[in-house]
Amino acid sequence: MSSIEIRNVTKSYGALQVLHGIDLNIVDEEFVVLVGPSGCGKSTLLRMIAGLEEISGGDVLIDGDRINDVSPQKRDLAMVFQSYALYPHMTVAENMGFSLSLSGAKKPQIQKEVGEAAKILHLEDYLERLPKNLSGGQRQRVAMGRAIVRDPKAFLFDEPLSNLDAKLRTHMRAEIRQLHQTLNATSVYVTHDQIEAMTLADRIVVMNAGRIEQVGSPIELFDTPMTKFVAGFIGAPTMNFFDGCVQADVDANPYITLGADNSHVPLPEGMKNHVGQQVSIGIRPQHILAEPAAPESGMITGSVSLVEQTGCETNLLLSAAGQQVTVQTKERMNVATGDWVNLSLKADCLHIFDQGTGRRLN
Amino acid sequence: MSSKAKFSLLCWGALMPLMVVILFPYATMLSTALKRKDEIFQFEISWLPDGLYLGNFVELFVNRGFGQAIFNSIYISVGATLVSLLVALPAAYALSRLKLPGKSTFRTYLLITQMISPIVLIVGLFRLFAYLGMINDLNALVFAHSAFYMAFAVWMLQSYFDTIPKDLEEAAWMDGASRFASFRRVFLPLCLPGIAVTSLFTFVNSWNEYAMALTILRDGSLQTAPVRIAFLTGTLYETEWNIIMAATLIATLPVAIVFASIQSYLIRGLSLGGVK
Amino acid sequence: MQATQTNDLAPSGRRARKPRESRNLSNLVFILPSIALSLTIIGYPIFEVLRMAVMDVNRFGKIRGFEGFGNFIKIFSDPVFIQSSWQTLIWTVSVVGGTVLVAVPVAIVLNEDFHGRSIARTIILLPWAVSLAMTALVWRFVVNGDFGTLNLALTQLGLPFNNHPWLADAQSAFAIEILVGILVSVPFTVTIILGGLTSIPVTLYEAAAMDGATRWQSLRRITLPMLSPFLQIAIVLNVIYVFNSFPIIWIMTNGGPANGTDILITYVYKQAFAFGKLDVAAAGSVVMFLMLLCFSVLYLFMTRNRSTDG
Ligand SMILES: Nc1ncnc2c1ncn2[C@@H]1O[C@H](COP(=O)(O)OP(=O)(O)OP(=O)(O)O)[C@@H](O)[C@H]1O
Ligand SMILES: [Mg+2]
Repeated sequence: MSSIEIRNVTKSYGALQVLHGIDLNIVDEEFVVLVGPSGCGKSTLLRMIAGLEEISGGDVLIDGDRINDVSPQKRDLAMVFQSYALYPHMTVAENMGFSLSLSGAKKPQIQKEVGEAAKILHLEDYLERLPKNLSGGQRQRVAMGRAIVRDPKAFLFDEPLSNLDAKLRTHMRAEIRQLHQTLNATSVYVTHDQIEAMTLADRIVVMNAGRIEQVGSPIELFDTPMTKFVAGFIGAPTMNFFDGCVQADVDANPYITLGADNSHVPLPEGMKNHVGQQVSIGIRPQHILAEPAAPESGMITGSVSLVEQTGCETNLLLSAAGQQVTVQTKERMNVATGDWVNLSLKADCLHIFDQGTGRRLN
Repeated sequence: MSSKAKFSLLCWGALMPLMVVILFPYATMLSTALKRKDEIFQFEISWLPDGLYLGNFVELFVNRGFGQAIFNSIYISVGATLVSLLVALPAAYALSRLKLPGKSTFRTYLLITQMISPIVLIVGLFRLFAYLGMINDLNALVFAHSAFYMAFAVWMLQSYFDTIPKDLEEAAWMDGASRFASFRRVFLPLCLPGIAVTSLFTFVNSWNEYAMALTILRDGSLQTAPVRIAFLTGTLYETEWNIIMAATLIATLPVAIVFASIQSYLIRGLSLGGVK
Repeated sequence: MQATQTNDLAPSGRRARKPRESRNLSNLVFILPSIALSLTIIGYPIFEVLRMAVMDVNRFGKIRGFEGFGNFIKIFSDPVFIQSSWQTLIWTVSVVGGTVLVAVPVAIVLNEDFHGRSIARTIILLPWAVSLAMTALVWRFVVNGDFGTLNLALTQLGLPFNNHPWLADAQSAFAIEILVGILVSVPFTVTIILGGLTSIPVTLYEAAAMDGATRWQSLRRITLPMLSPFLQIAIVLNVIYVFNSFPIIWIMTNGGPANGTDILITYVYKQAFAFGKLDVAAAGSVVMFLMLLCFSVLYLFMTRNRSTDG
């Protein structure tokens, strides 16, 4: 297995630049997930690592060797495509053994390796079938099998689960994670599904519009998103944001007032230096406490516009402080549309971002 | 009667007039080819021949050198198919798969070659081959046909190639296949049907071509089947229709069968590539 | 965190660009053979035709001197040329028009799902498989006055066509040739239109049915408009093919009787290979090509206008 290093890599299609200087170190045996909204350049970056896309600028190194001009055949990476790209004219066994047969391996050896991979992936019964006679999940497994048969330097995945239904996706997600624990293979995994990213990754790379927004472990990203974009992208339901201006009270404690209610929200000490600055306050729906109550001045009050019961938790959609606010709680709440609730924000769970740059301030 | 059966009857009824007009000459061909010479010129002509008379075919091959004409036609058609495939395959592959400067210019160029009919150029073609010393040379026709039918081959092949996902080749590269290996072991097996249809189409077109063959092959022993047959009408005082129809039947039937077998692919091929 | 936000400028920016462009250029080898072949076989004759059109050439192809527009003047002062031009117009318009009128309904029927459809398709497309020369020949026999099967069939139906010499009269000969022309153009046209029909998604018809459209309405409001790009292609290609179509007229009547069925292509061919006037023939070819060019430009202009209007 191997490390992959990406140094100031850029990509342009003619005048259109889609990647602006990407820097990333992927260490041996690491599982890195690239996430970001559609069109942000995840696939492009992955395909550049694979050698399927020309590198416009910068360097890609595998185990310290610059491989910009090495053709995909010689990079010794395996890739699982979104479409699976199974060879339609070959059986499952032939699909999985193709790379070995190309490298001149003998028949018995191919058979043995394919058999082992098939066992890991529960494909033993399908080896003689053609891809068109397989279900979606089975095809997905064959695509994985094709990758693991040959023990490559690293695995690349481009949204491998996006063609599966929700249940199968959850299942395959777990299988991929287990597979990684068995094989310990360096992996780069592209997805736009943040749950997939959170559950699979050792480290997540959040991308936006051709740039890396933040790199970190799932928990890091969740607890301390470094930009407003990451904060909004990671976590479900999406984080709530309130805009306002940092003010200081008579004791010079920083606070912010929200909406028309003029309710005070105290801010951490550190925000003293930012008095007068326009900020966005982010708070996750899980970190807002809602209590049914009559409107009270000085509190943030919201009226319920939608109640979603998922069984485990209750989601409330409120209008408060002149905007929409989402609240999630583990408790069963007995509220109905039109009811009033008082909200309190957990002070140590506030994420404060500069309104202009979107950078984290606390 | 089920409603589909009724509907089918309606459809066949609507197509019937055209079918009669299309099939009428074939009936004529068949009935005449199996008749004796004197049966045709009888006062009372009839549809059915008196008996299955195969003498016309024997006469054709033994005394009229029709075997030679068939051979010439096969030589030219096979040659033209191979040559046009040889130049069209890489061109279609490049159009479908590769970055290429001037791609759209090349497309326009192909369209223009289709706008120019060989017959408008016939005088120039004659001079070209005279200059190359290739008048009365079957190879001249091989090259002429492949040049004029190449554009269509490129279109058909390209539209077929476009249906093969690029992913598959990329997957092969990732599996370590060289460009050539992925072409041979993944791409080629998948587009073989398209190549086959294109070849047959080119073959049929070349087999049937008349004007260039008439003009460039002046020598009787080099004539292709269609030219030979047309000449049979003019050589004798009285036209021997029975012989001619027998010849037409031989020259037509095999290609018609080939053509019928690829007919459904043609519709798909043209619908994919034709308009874009 | 292992992400390195190093800011050293990538020195490879330039290195990467060079091999890519040269690789794109080297991809040209894929299309070079086809260009070379067609430039030789089509390009050079074009040059030759253009050159001979302004030269004085003897019947053995030897160039005797510069002629300027002399050959063109000769052509335009030849009444047979003028007559052939008119006949070419009639020929092209009737064959292409007739073909489209026949092919559209036939394709629509062939696109329906009925028993034996593939057999029907095969029969309709059959003339495409047969050499124009042989089709022409067979039809020449079919309409033969004395022992042709057309007269036989017509007399058997009780019609007074015994020994009617169809090809002896220019008008009936031309009409028959036009019919044969339509017949051989139908398969190609049907194929293109069928391709167009199969490209119309079924859901469109289902949506129209949900909106309450009858079969006839969805034919008029969906099928025909969606077909129009395919029809345009079919018309353009057919005009080119039919305008240049040689074997049918050449074999059935040789342009006769009395040049009554001559079109430009047979006129040019006769000039070259019957009368040995290679230079005049070349000039004729140039004029023919210019006519097609005018048509193409006119066509482009018309469709461009329409697409900007609507
Ligand atoms: N061949 C191309 N020519 C021009 N632009 C391209 C090309 N391929 C991709 N792009 C552009 O590059 C950007 C990044 O594309 P990419 O496929 O990497 O996005 P992605 O992050 O994988 O999105 P998705 O989640 O939808 O797959 C997009 O804006 C896309 O439009
Ligand atoms: Mg993508």
